[in-house]
Amino acid sequence: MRRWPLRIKVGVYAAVLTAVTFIAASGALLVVIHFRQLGELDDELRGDATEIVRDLQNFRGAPVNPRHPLSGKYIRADLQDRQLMLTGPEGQMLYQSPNLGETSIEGPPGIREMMINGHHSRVGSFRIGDFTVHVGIDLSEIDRLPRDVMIALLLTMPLIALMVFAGGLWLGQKAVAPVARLSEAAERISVENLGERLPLPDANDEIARLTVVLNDAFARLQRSYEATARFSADASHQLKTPVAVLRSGLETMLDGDHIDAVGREEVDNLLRHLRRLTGLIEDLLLLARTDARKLLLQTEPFDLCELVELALDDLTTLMDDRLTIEQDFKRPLTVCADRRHVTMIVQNLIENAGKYTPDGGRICAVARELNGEIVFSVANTGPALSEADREGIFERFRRGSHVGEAQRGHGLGLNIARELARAHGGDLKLARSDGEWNEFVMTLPAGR
Amino acid sequence: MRILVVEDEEDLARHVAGALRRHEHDVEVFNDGGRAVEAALRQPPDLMVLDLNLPTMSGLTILSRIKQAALPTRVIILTARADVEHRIKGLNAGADDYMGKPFSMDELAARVNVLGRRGGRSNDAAHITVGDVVMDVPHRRLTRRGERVELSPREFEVLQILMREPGRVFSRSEICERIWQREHQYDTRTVEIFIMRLRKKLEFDGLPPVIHTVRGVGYQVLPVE
Repeated sequence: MRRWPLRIKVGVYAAVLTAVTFIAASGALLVVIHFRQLGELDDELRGDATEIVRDLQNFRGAPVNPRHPLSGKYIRADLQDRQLMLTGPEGQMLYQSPNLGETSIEGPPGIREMMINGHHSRVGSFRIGDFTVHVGIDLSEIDRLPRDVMIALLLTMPLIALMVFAGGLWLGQKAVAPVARLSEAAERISVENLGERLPLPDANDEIARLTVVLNDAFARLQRSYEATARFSADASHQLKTPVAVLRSGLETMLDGDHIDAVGREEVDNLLRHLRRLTGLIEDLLLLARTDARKLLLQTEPFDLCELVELALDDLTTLMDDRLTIEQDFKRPLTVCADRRHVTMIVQNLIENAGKYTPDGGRICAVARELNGEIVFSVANTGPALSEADREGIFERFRRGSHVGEAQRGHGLGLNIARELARAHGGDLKLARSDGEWNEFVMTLPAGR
Repeated sequence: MRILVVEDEEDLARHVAGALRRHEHDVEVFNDGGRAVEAALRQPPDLMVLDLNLPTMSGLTILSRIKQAALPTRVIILTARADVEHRIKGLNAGADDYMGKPFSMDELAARVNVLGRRGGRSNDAAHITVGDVVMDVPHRRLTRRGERVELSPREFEVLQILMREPGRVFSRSEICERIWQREHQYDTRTVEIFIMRLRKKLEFDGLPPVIHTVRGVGYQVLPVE
């Protein structure tokens, strides 16, 4: 139930509430009616007894002997169907109506309920003059009422509940519709269009207030997002100048005569670290731009295969015969993209494959055009990535858990590669990691 | 060549000036934009190495002043803001070349020399001839004494870098940076392997070497007639 949409909940609540109310009201009504009917019945019994005795005291102008048994003719026609017993002053039986059968309805004065001849009846005993009248009425009529009402309830309740449910649904839908519209609009807002805001409804109600609150939250989010992106960009720029000074200084040292072979080697080493630092700064700057959606693309049509061949050429040179490298693509596969960026993606994928393939393994690079897209896949043999690695492999500063310190790189490569592919309207995914092959697939829109 | 180095980072300016002096240029350093413009207008230099972010007057303003005054001075912009957008802006404003910080001193010196020698932009000709070696860049073909030499894509790139500036000595790390643009696992050893392969392919039939090793520095291409 917790997972049901609000409008269904409103419908169900309304239906249940209505049914309970209805049943309770009917029950109360039935109790009132029942006691009322019993009261009326008791009056009737008392009236009947009085009538009968009055008839006996004045039968054809004279009273009948209260000590003689009586026959049915002394009883008025309209009271013939009553369960009736008459006793005299000393308690002698005067009359017993035939519908009593074997049952005696004698008893002390007062009203009670009992079974007569298999019928639930209400019996009143009244002492009037010399006579005691015991009179009973079959209660089956009265008893049937609650049962009839119950049946009527059972028959109509589902219909009523359904109608109320439908009404509740409609009401709920009407109440929730603005919220639904709001969440739809909010869903459309993402990093690409953080500047967009939700449309403010005409009414001045809770929904309008919610819209204002959400729009404020989006504005704050946008400001902080932009500030973060700007900060990384500014920080990267600021870092470049001191790095440039360091580099020029070290190179000046190398150029001079007052440095020996050991010093030269040390400075060379420092320069290599400096280049790594420069690479990291460039990467952070690039990410700051992609995050801020401010990456400027210098697109031109070119053959993706050229870049792949260059990267494979590097890999083959570096690997000697440690790995088998297979390739399968037919030139040209034209993309219209920023060549520098696509080079970074291709190099990253092929370098990674080289890094993570155990000796004697295979690397397979395949490129195709498929439904207007250029699909480039790099697969290498190797152990399957753990679940956590598969999930987080594209995260920043994250490297596979099986990667030792010996591997270079700062854990931005795959993230950058994916950001760049996406900036070009493509994507980069881990397509396979099954223990046999690890395969990354890049897609880019095909160029003309 | 008479060169003005306009850069507010004093150490960097000093290093650049030192490197250019070693290449026998006459170098003057300014840490302030306004004074650099005055000096340039008083006596136009052949070349200006110009930072963009300067006190008192920005690099782009200096550039437009120089262009307004129609000085014959060539300008290399040297800046931390080296992304495509700023690069285009700088070149549109009339700069002859554009280098991002941090940069290789060798490359800066080389670009300065290219601008001084030709008085124009760096060489991007489709055909490069160095002695008996002819490179057809668009068709990715290389011939030596009319004989076709088959090169792998990266071998072609390495040789192209050397052949565009014959006689200039390239350090291994500069070749590395030029080829791969950014730092990664390919190190100078990979360059050595490519150079070795190129030599083997170019020196067929006992022909004399084209690529020469300068000990402790790097490689250069020299013409063979």
